[in-house]
Amino acid sequence: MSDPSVSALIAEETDTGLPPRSLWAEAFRSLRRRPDVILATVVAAFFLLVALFPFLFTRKDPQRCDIADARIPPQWFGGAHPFGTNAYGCDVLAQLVHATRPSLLLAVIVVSVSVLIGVTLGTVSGYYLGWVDAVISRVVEVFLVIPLLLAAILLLSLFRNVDLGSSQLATIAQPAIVLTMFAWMGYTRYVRASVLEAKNLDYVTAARVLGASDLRIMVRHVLPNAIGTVTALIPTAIAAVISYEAVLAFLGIGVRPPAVSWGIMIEEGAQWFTGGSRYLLYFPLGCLMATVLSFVVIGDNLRDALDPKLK
Amino acid sequence: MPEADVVLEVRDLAKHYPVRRGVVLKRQIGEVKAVDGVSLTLRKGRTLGLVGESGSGKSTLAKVLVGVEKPTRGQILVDGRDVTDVGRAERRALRRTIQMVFQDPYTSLNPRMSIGEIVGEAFAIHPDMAPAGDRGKAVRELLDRVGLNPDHVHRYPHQFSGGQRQRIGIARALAVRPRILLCDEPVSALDVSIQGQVINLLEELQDDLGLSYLFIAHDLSVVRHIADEVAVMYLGRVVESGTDDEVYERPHHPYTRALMSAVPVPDPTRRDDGLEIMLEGDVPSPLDPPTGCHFHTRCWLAPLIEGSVDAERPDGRPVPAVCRNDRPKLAPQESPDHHAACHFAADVARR
Amino acid sequence: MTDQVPATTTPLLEVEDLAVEFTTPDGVVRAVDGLSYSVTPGRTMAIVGESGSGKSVSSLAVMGLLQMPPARIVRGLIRFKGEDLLGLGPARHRAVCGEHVAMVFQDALASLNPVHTVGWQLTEALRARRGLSRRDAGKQAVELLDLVQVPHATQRVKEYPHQFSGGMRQRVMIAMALALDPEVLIADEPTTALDVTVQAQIMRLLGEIQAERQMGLVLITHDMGVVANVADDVTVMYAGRAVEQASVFDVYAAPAHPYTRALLRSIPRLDQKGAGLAVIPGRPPDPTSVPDGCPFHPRCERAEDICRVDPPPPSIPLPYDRTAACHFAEEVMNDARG
Repeated sequence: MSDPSVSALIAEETDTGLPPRSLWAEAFRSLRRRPDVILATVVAAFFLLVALFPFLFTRKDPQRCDIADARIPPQWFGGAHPFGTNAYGCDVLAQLVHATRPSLLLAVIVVSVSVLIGVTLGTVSGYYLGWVDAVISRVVEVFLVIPLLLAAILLLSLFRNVDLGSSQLATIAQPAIVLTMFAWMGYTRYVRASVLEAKNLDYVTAARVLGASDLRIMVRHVLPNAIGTVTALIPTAIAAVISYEAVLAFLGIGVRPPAVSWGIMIEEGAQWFTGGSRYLLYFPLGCLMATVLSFVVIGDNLRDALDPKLK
Repeated sequence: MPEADVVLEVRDLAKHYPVRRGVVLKRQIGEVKAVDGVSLTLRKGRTLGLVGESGSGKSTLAKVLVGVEKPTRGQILVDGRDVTDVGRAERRALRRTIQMVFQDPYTSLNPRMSIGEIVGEAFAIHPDMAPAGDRGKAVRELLDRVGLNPDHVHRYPHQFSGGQRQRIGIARALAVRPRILLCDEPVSALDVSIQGQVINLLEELQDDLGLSYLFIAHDLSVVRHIADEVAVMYLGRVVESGTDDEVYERPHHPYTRALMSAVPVPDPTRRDDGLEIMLEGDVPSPLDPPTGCHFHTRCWLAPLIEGSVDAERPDGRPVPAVCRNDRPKLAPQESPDHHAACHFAADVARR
Repeated sequence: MTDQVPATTTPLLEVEDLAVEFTTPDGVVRAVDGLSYSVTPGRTMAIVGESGSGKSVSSLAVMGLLQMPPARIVRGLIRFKGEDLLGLGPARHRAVCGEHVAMVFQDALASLNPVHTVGWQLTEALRARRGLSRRDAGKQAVELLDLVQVPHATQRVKEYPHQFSGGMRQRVMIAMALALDPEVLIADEPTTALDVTVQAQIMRLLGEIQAERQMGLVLITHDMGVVANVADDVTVMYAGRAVEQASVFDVYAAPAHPYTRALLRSIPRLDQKGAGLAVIPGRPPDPTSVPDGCPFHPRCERAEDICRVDPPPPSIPLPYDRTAACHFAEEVMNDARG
């Protein structure tokens, strides 16, 4: 009766035998059952598809405009211009479709670069503390107190005349750099806090006692705890960048022509809102809101699903 | 010359934490002497029980011994060799000698790693322990060794009960084939009916593998059960040490006596047995420990010593001047291995 | 303070055939299944069990503190001085309990609000329910701290919870529970988080206050040592069921349920040094899949075929006014005696 292996065998027999399931699998299982998440995923996937394969959705070139066809109201699916044309006679559907890629690409670049910076700096500063932490934390504070829009307007106006060429990346390079400069601090703080929390947990001490290197401890034990929740922030951050781009474009300092973005279209559409062509604003605004909302819904639910404390 | 079978010796070990105030100019306003001059000896295949309440410094001592914290002073000798200041490579080798089992089965396992990864991590860190192809097999053997089903390598910690998790923690510690296992309250978070299973596993492993245990606990009855030798700590110092029988049957320090009297005996007919030595109040703050003998503010014996009127404690009872002013040395008692740090150790034994 | 009424005739708190269920994603969990006990003035009922045995859930049900849903009281009665509390509706139930039945929890730090002084929290109930003025409440707070032997009470009422040590915080919790002069105190693992010397102080304090006020005490614990020292009656719980109920002396002298017997054997003792600790094999059942028949049978050394099929009657009466839920209760008890 006192033999431990015998008792353990009995313990195994009474085991309920759950299949192995990771935190992620668990999260997906619970997300699958939520209709709002499914809808949001469908919407987000649709716009991703539009961004990747614009020619599937329109055969017209957004740059080929005929001023004679200016401001044709939506003809829906019967006519040549389903969503109508804008003030210069460009096809609105074609513009919308081709504007999706710069908008989403900008968001993806800004968010991934700032997450990378934030996670690296946050981990280093939370793990080593001392002067490394002091320097990083002060820099974070400096960037936090500068208002994003003011700095963006200033920087983008200053470098307005720098020509980077007209490739897809070049047209979004400037807003991408400026938005990234002001997007990494949140992740840094967030990751630093969860590293501080995680690094004194017993399993981290156990790894240290085994002789694991600092890098191994950070990558294998400390970071995975922070990463889950940072991942959940990403969709919301993408939504935020898309709307910031719209603001910058509205101010005339966003994605550069000839590229179009939803922001540029909103800016143009707003001028005609009271001029009888409301659809010019409604279409880009609708796309923007649908994308932003779906990413926010996914982000919120992902965060809840990945948080072990909410279980 | 160290004795041949001594595997771990600690000499006058201390760990002080500075207490700082201020944001920019951090002034040191004090010091917490978490461990304050502790000496211990652990022999091969034996178990040394380390007992103390919260704030006694027993967990800090464990962290220093496994190399997570650097000692402020003192020496740690493994097999007679001073390892307090060794280089990187040697420290890595040392990791294999001393391993640790933790108290909380829930925070001691990474929830995002399967138990195969947890137990196998040792081989990833020390690749020479097992050739790459044999690691899976080695992990399964370890799981079997601690009484778990080897087929469960792909499961995650949350699928196991507290007792099973503690077995996983033991398997992880055994992976590097250590000779010394530091058990920090390994059963105090478990249900009574499970505690025995884990204790028996530890004893069985000790017999089979010749391990030496430093067994830290606040539970005197568990220590009584598993330990060959016992050291009692109070506010960072060892106040009594000796063999299990010496300390439990003939305690020579008033704190040891008080600690033992506070353990409830699971027998209702012995409720009112003998005189109950009750300790008043809490353990004083280690930031500002009492002068002289740390225990004099709570000691039940001090007021009973004749001529102890010259100094008064917070509760108004008299204390001999010597207790208030002089730190008592850990001195041999009836047998040479039984030490107690009390100016009136002989009186403790008599009462 | 009361007339010398024979204690056994006037139960303060009675629980009868209580069953509580939880709806979880993995199915319905029966956390408490047919628990009955009663507490009389000046006596201590200890409810003993391991984690998941339902001991804490049952006390939350008594206090009306269960979150419903997911919890649901399936059947049973909870009576205070003969009045059926469950029939009153949740709000009245809590009100009656707030006035007459108090509770002390294990985690004193989590139960105290960090932003208010200890004195303010001590008298919150007095001000809200008795309409005491701030000055009177202040005086009361000092008296309450004095009662639980916190030194320098006049200064300490002005301090905040984080300035108190673990033991002192638990004293504050007890003082808070005593503020309204309750007739029954339910203490849920009141000393589990404390050091052994402090635990002894708190248990002695509880005992003194109980004797002085002739309170009924329900002590919920896993510690058979504490039970032996303070309880009058014992209820042993396993998998939501009361498996044995008897006076403390009878339980320790001759346990009538194999679980109780195994539990008592598995305690390491200060006064005994033996080789190989007796253990109970396996572990407590997962509440979502309690075994058929007697829930203890997979771990029981006395189990026979009948135990795997037929659940034992909830309380088989035995001599000396005790009960046990085991097909072989009489035999187990006599074994222990012989």
